[in-house]
Amino acid sequence: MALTEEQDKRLAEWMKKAQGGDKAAYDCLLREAAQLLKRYFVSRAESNEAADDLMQETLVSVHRARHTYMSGRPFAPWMYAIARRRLVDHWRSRSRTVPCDVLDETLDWMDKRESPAGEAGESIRETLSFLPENQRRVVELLKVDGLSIKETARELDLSIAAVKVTAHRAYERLRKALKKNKIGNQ
Amino acid sequence: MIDDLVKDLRPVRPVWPIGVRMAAWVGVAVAAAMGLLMAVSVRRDLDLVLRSGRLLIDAGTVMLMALTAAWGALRLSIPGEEKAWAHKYLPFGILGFWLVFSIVQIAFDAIQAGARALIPDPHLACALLVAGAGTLLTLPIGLLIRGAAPLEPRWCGALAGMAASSAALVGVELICVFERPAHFGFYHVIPVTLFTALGAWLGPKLLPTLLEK
Repeated sequence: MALTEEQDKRLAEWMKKAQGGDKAAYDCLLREAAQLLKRYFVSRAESNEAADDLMQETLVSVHRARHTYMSGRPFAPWMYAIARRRLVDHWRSRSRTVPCDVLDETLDWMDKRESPAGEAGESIRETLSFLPENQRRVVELLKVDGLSIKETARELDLSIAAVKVTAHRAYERLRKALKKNKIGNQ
Repeated sequence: MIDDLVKDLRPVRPVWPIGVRMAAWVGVAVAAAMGLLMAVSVRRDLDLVLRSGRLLIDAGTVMLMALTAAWGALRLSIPGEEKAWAHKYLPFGILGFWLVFSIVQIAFDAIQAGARALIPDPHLACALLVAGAGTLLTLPIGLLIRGAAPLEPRWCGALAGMAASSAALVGVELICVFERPAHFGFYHVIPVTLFTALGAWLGPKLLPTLLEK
């Protein structure tokens, strides 16, 4: 993560020129920054794909915030501050879906159990039918449609906290139902 | 993607240095305070106030809080500055001192004058002026923060709220004629604290972050 003084100066110089509209300097800056950011995220993200996504998102943020870089100051702390926030945001959004791990596991288990194609989907729907309407809608949007908690909250006109609570209750109920079902099948 | 970003490149005016942004906000705050004092005249016994140690400590603390909070909010709106813990915590340390100082003053007053010292002199105008002038002063600092790139909008919001309400209170304290500690605690300290909390709540909603996709 540490940049040599020379490297930092070079990036700072390119950024200064980019603020003035120099596209060639900006191209050099983004290419070198991309490499640095990739290296930064690879050891911190859960996969190579996630590292790539984070790198690209950070480059977009750097682009949007380029007016806040103050020439004469080191470039690295500025860029890595943005990268760090991106990473924190990434982990935060992932942690919001952590309770879903329970459901992921159960869905995986069901997929394995219901091997004939198409039956898994039916089985998921059947399982979800155990749930009250409000809980079922939340789980469907989160886990079947793949919406984020924020998007689900917006879709259902609920608060984020309400979505989390509803999802948590749904997962608990599902876990109990599946456990009972599993024991019954054995 | 890099090609797209390069294609999208337009010249930008770098954000003003922090000193310039701070001077701009202080200028607005002083102008607002002058306007307030012209609208509502300064208390006549101001010379007495200037001789009272307690009132001077109170006014000095509020002024210091306004300046450090504004400085912190403006610095934190620049990426890479959020690790400078003093900018975050110093204003809250001063707020903490002010709270303790006010509570101690109320307690002393209660010991000397009895339980009635715990009842604040009712003067809602103080709280309303702090809220009104605070809202007015939040606008310029909010614009300065929005013009940068706050990575921690909650902190920036809280500090901006604290700076604006404290600056408003500096003006209010030149007008307010009630001196009992209970009045200070209820109509001065609580509004500033609430305004700070409000800023922390509204910060993420009103200040854009680079994390927005």
